[in-house]
This record gives sequence, structure tokens and C-alpha cells, in this order.
Amino acid sequence: MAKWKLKDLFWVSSTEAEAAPVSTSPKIEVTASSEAPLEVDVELSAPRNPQVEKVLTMLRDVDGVVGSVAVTNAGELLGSDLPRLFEAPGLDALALRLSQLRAALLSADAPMKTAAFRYDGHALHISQLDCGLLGVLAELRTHEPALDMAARLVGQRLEATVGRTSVF
Amino acid sequence: MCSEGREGHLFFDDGQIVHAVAGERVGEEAVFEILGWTTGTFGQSAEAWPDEPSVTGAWQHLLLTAAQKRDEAQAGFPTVSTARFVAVKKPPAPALVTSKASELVTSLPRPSRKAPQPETDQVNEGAWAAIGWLSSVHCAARLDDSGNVLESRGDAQELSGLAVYVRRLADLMGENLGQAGFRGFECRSESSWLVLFVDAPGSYIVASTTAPQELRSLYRS
Repeated sequence: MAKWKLKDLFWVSSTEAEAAPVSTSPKIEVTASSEAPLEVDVELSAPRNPQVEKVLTMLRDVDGVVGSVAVTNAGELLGSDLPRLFEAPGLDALALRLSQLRAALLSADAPMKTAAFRYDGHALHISQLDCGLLGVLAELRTHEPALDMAARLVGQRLEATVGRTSVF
Repeated sequence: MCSEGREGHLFFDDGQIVHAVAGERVGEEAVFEILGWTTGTFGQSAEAWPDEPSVTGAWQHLLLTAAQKRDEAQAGFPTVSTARFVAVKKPPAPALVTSKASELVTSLPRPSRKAPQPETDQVNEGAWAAIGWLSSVHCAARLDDSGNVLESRGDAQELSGLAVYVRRLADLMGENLGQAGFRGFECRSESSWLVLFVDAPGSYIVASTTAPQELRSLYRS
């Protein structure tokens, strides 16, 4: 009979989070039931900014918003406020791809102001800020004008928090 | 799945959850109930295959919603990354279950039936024709999933190259975010919009326009 702990897949309790050492070269722990954990070295992005993550939580006031990320124009993750499901190197890849998207549109003489990818259940809304890019994952039913307004306000706070010169 | 005296059943067809039962809950509510359990055991179920699916959403959507519900229910949910996750290996063979859950074991009856088709599988035959009538569209192209231009209007060569790249990024970013079923992309720049949307299985349309709202009716449901 297989044993599992679902919380280990998606969430880390506050006590675990506090106990976990912050390292620039973390291990990803992979375990099978009743087997000893395997540890794998992984690359982690630049240290995240807790102030940025605090600002991003404001976006969840909009009904339907799942979470958000802030990245530099160069593709470095500044911070994220997504469910733990996404707390993985996938976010670093996402940050880089957002930057690639911006660069591709710029090279095609169509510099992005806002953009949105729509999928079956959710949409990824992207805003170009002076200090980088803001990505918001939201349900399709989300009221877009309300989200645009919240994104603008959060963008202003992010620019005040991060500073325009530190991220280019 | 059994957890602390509770029992739930998840039915999968072609990688998608199509039915779920947990106590008196059926469908997505049952999925969220089961995903809320933090420990337990699992094995194959002998429950009869449902006549009709009770779950239609993609598993990515269900998982996201469950994670969101969990987050919202947790006061003081930590946001500091620890870059730690655990993958649990699938059991090598149908497991033998003891006592109360013994009826869960045996092979799962699985009648052959067609899985529900995503909305993007519906062919929007009129989309390309409609674009021909829109004066707001500067240039447009219809491409297949390999990037071949099937039809074009105006000078769409550069637009096509950009579209293939954006289409690829859409899939990759979708994977990063647990999203499937790409429908469309819109980008606002200084003076125009770039709109890209799937019009049929295996093909998509890209257009540069000044009035994106005219195109939205072609692909947004």
C-alpha cells in the first residue's frame, strides 16, 4: 500500500519554512515511499525580494487572481506570489521566457505594453513596467478592467520598492 | 484513496480526471475534498465506471483551484521560497489493500469511450474568412503547428515568424504554470495589437490590428 503526504507535494507549513535553511544552492529532495530521499543539486535564481512578494499579494484582492510574479527585463525573478505548486525552478524558466517574449516583440518593432496568454482555465496577464515585467495568473472569469487597475497600482509600488536603476 | 477513515475515488481517462466521489460529494467538490487530505493510502478502485463524467475541467485547473483554496484557507501562509518539493513514486503494481478499503482493489472496469474534447478542438471555419472583411487588420496569416503559412493577407512574413515563436512560448509558459489548452494571445503595443488564436486543431491565426475587440468574438467564448 502506497503512503503519501500530499502537503509535501504542494505546500510547506510555516514551521517547515522557518526551519528550512535559506541557501543559494538548495537541494531538491525526491523521495519514493519508504525510500531514502535523493538529493539533487539545482540552480536557484537570484535571492527573492520579500518586499516585492508582499506587494504582489495585493493583486489577490482581485477576485479570480491565483498569483503573480515580478521579473526584470533581463529575465531574473524578483519575487513571486503563486501557490507553492509553482515554487520550483519552473518559475525561473518562466521569468526567462517572459523576458524572451518582451525581446521578441521589441525586435519585431511591436514593444509590449500589456499582453495576455489565454488557456483553457486561466490566463497569464503581462504588464510592462519601468522596472521589469509583471505576470498575473488569473481565472478567465476575472474582471479584466479591475485587474488592469490593480496591476497598475502594484506596478507603481513595485517600481518604488525595487527602484528603476537596480534591475536593468 | 483512504485517509483517516474517509474514502474517495478518482476516475482517470486518458490522463484526465473524469469522475470523483468522496462520501456524499461528487465531481469537482469531491476532487477538492480528496486533495485536501494530507495523508493516506491509495490503491485501484473497483467502483463502477460512471455513465457520465462528473468532472470536465482539466487536471491542471483542478490542481490550481485546490492549491488556491488551500492557500486562502491558511492564514499567514508563508511566501518565502524554500525550493523544496517531494515527488512520490507510483507504486510498481496494483497494491493490496487491507480491511475497510479492500473493496477498492481489483482491476478497474474501463469501457471504451471517447474523452470529452477541449473547446479548442472545435473548428472555427469562419475565422479566417471574417478577418478578410475587417479593415482594422493590417496583415494576418494562418499557420499550422509546424509553422507553415497556410494563408496570408498583407505583408505577413515577419508577423509569421513572430507568431511561431510566441506560439512556442505559449506552450512552454503554459507548462511552467500547469496550463494546457492554449487559446489565444493578445499584445498591446504603442499603436496596434498583435492577436494570435487557435482557430482549429493544428492551426492558428495571427493578425496585426487596431481593433482587437473585433477579433475577440472569433475565439473567446
